[in-house]
Amino acid sequence: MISPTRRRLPGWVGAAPLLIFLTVFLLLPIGANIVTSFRVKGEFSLASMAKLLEPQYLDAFIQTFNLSLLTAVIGGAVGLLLAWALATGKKPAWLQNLVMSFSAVASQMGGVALAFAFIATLGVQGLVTQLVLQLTGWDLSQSIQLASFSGLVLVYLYFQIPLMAILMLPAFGSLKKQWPEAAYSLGASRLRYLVDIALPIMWPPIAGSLLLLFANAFGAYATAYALAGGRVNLVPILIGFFISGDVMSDESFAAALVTGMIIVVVAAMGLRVLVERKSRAWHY
Amino acid sequence: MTRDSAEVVLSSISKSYAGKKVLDNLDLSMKPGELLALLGPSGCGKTTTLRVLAGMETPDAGSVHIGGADMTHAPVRGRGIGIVFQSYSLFPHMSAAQNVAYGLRLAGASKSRRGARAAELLEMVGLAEHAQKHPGQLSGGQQQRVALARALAIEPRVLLLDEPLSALDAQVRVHLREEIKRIQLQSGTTTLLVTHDQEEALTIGDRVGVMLGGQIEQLGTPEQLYCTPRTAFISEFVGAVNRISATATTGGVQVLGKLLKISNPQTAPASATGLEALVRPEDLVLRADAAGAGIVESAVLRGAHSSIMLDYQGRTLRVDLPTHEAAAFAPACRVSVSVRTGAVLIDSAKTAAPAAAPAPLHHPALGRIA
Amino acid sequence: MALLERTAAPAVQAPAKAAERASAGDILRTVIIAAALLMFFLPLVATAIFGFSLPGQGFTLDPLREALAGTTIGAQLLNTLNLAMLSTAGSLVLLVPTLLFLHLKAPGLLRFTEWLSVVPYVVPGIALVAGANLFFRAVAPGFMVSLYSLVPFYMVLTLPLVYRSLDAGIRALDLRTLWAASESLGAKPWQSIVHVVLPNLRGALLGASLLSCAMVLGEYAIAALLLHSTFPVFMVQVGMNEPRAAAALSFLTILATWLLLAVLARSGSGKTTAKGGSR
Repeated sequence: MISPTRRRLPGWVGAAPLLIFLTVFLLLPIGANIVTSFRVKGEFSLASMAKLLEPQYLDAFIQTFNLSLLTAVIGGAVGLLLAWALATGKKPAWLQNLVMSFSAVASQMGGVALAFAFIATLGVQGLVTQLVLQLTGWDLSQSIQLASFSGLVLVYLYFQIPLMAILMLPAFGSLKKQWPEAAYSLGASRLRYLVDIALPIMWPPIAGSLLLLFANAFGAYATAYALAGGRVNLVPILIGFFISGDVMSDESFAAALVTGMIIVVVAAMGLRVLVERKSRAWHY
Repeated sequence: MTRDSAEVVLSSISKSYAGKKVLDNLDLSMKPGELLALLGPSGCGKTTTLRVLAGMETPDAGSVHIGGADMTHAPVRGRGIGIVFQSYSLFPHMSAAQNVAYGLRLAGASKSRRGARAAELLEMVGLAEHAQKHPGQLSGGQQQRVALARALAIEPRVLLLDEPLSALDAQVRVHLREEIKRIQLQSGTTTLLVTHDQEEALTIGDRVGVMLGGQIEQLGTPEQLYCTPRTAFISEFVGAVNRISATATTGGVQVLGKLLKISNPQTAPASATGLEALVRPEDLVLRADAAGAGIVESAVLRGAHSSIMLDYQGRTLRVDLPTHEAAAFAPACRVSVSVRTGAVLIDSAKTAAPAAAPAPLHHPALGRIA
Repeated sequence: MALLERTAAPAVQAPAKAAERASAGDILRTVIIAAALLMFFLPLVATAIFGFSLPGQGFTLDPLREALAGTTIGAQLLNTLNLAMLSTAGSLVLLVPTLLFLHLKAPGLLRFTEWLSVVPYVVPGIALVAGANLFFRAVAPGFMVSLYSLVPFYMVLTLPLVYRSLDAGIRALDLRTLWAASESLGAKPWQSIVHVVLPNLRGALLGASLLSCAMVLGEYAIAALLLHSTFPVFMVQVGMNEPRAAAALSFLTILATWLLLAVLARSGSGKTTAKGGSR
C-alpha cells in the first residue's frame, strides 16, 4: 500500500508514446482548428460559425447531408440484402469468397481510382456509354452525369454497398438458428418472427452501420473532387478550395467549415456508439 | 383451454440427407403424459426424430400423428408443441418474463393474463425474482429454466427437449434434470427428451429408447434396458459391464464355471466358441479364497458402493459391492469369482475390450448413490 | 379440437409450399449476388478495356505510354511506396511495443487506448489536413515542406485499423501465459519479445501492414492539399487530360489493392476491415 499512483505510473509510461503521438498529430491540429474557428482578428467571435448559415455554405452542408443520407440509406438497404444473401442459404465457397474479397476491396477502394473507373465506364467517352449509344442511340452520359449530385450518388454507392455488406455480415451470423424455430413452435408466423424477433435484434447493428456509412460519405473528398471538382457544392470540396487557396483566404471561416463538418461526423459516430451499446447487454 | 396430453405416433419414418440415411423406417409411439427419453450416440438420428416430430424436418416417408391427427406436413406452429433447445434459444432482447409470455402474446392473450401466467411459470421453475432480467444476465442453467417455462406457457400437447442439459455444468445438470422430471409430472405433458447421456435418460425417462443407425434398437423402461438389454450394444451403452469369456453348451453357456441361460437367444452368435458373456459389476460375487483365480488390484470408493478391480486370468474385472463389505478385499488378496444371476447376455468376443465401462452407475431403480 | 381443424387444411399443401418458398429464396439470393458481382465487375472490366485499348486497335499500351512520356511517374510511384513503407513501419514501431507493454503491465489502460485509437474515425482526412495546416504552419513552418511530413498523418489515418488488427492478434495469444512461460525458462524481456512473441504475432503484423499499405497507396486528400506529389496526385493530374491513361493507372491501383487484401484474407486476419480512409 505504498501509493496507488506509484503502481499506476508504469502504465501511463506505456501509453505515453501513443498519447503524445496522437496529441501532436491529431488532437492539437484539430484543437487549433476549433479554436481558430471561434476567433476573428485575435478575439473570441461567433462570426465565422454564424457565417456557415449563409445560403451558399448552408447549401453545401445540406447537399453533403443529402448525399450522405441518400447513399447511406440506398447503400444500406442494398448492402443489407447482399449481406443476407451471403450469410444465409447454401452456395459454393468460391462464390462466397469472391464476393467477400470484392466487397473488401470495393469498400476500401481509394477515391481517385474509383472516380476514374467510373469515368471510363459511364463518362462521355466511357465504354458502357459508347456501347449503349451505338446499340440504342441513347446517350447515357447525358442522363447520368457523373459530375453531378446524382452521379456522385451512383459512384458513392459503389463503396457504400459493400461496406454495409461487410459490416452486417457478423450481425447475420449472430442470429441463432434456434430463434426462428423457437418462435414458430410458440405459434409465430414467418412475418411475426421477422417483426418481433429478427428486426428488434438486428436494428442496433443496422442503425449503427447506417450512421457509419453516413459519416463515411460526409467526409469523403477524393472521389467527389476527382469526379465533380467544384460542380457540386459539397463541404469537403469547399474545405479543399480554402486550403489550397483557390478561394479568398479566410482562415477563421475555413476552420469553421471544418468544425462544422467534425460536429456532424462526431454526432453521427456518437449516435452509433449509443445505438450499439443498447444491444451489447443482449448478448449471451 | 384444457391441457390435453396427446398420444404421439411416428410410423415408418425415413429421412436421408444427401444420400445418407439418417432415419430408417423408424416406428415410435408415446403414451399420453409419459416422458420418453431417446438415447443414442451422436449421429444415431435421435435429434432428427425430434425435428421430424416438431415439423422442422419433413420425412421422406412415413407419418406423424399427434393426438390422433395426421401432422406429417403440418407447419411447426400448428402442432401444439413446445421445444427446449440445447442452448441460445431465448430471445436476447426480451426479459425472462417477456420470453415466457411471447407464445401467449401470439395467441392473443390479454396483457394481464400473460403477466400472470408468466409469473406463475417463472415461479414454477424457481426464477420468480429474475423475471425482469435479460438472457445475457442469466446463467446457462437459468436460461434453460426460462426456456422450459416458455415452452410450457403455451400449454403444449407435446413437449420436446433437445439435449436441454448438455451445455450445462455437471452439478447444474443433475439438479435441473430432477426439476424437469418434477415439472413434467406436474404438468402431465407428453414429453420427448433427446439426450446422449445414459444416466440422464435412465433417471428421468418413464421409458427409454436407445437408437442406433436410424432405428430404435430397444425401447423399454429403464429397468428393462438395464437388466435385460436385448443386445450387447445396449448393455454396454446403458451401464458398465464385464466381458467374460464363455463357452456354449447344451442348455446354455458356461461362465465362471456355472451353467447359465442365454438372455438374448435371438441376437446371440451361433458359434460355440469365441464367446463372451456380458455381466454387470454388481452381478459378480467375490469370495476370499487362497486358491482363487482372481487377484485384487485396487478398490475404488464410489459412495455407498465400491468397485473392486481384479485381475482374472489376464483380464481386468470390476465387481461392485456395498462399501462396508469391500474392506474385506485388500489389494493382492486372492479371490474366487462367481455369477449371481441365472441368465447372461452373450456376444462374440471382442479383443482386448476393457472390462470396466467409463461412467459410474447411479440408477434409482437399483438404489445407487453417486 | 379447434387446433386440429386449423391444421388439417394446410397439411396437404404445406410441403409443396415449403419447397417452393425455399427455392424462391435461393433464386432471390442468386439474383442478388449475381447483380452485386455485375455491379462490382462492370466498372472494373470497362476500366481495363478503356485504359488498355484504343478504338479499332485492340489491346495497346499507347495511351499509357503517351501520357507518361516526359513525366516523372517513377518518382511519384517511389514517393508513394516510400510513404507506405515508412508509415507502416512507423505504426508498427509505435503500436507493437505500446500494446505489448499495456497487455502485460497495465491492461486497465487498454480501454483508454482503444478509445483513443478510434478517434481518427471521427476526423475525416480533409479535416485533419485543415487542422494540420493551421497548427504546423504556426508552430513549425518548415515541417510541412518535406514529403515525409505525410508519414505521421498517414499513421493517424490508419491507426484504427492497424490498432485493432494488432490488438486482436495479441488477444488471441494469451500473452501473459506466454510471457510467464518464457520468463520462467530464463529469457530476458527482449529475448521473450524476439524469440517468442513476435514470431507468434506474424499473422497480425502482416495483416496490419497490408491494411496500412493498401490505405496509403490510395490516399489522395492529404497529399494533394499539402502539395506533395504522390502517385494518386499524379493520377489526377494525368486524368484531367488523358482519361485513358488515368483509367489504366486506376485499374492497376485497384488490382494492387486487391492483391494486398487477398494476401490479407489468406493470412487469416482480415476481419478488421471497417472504413476506408482514402476518399
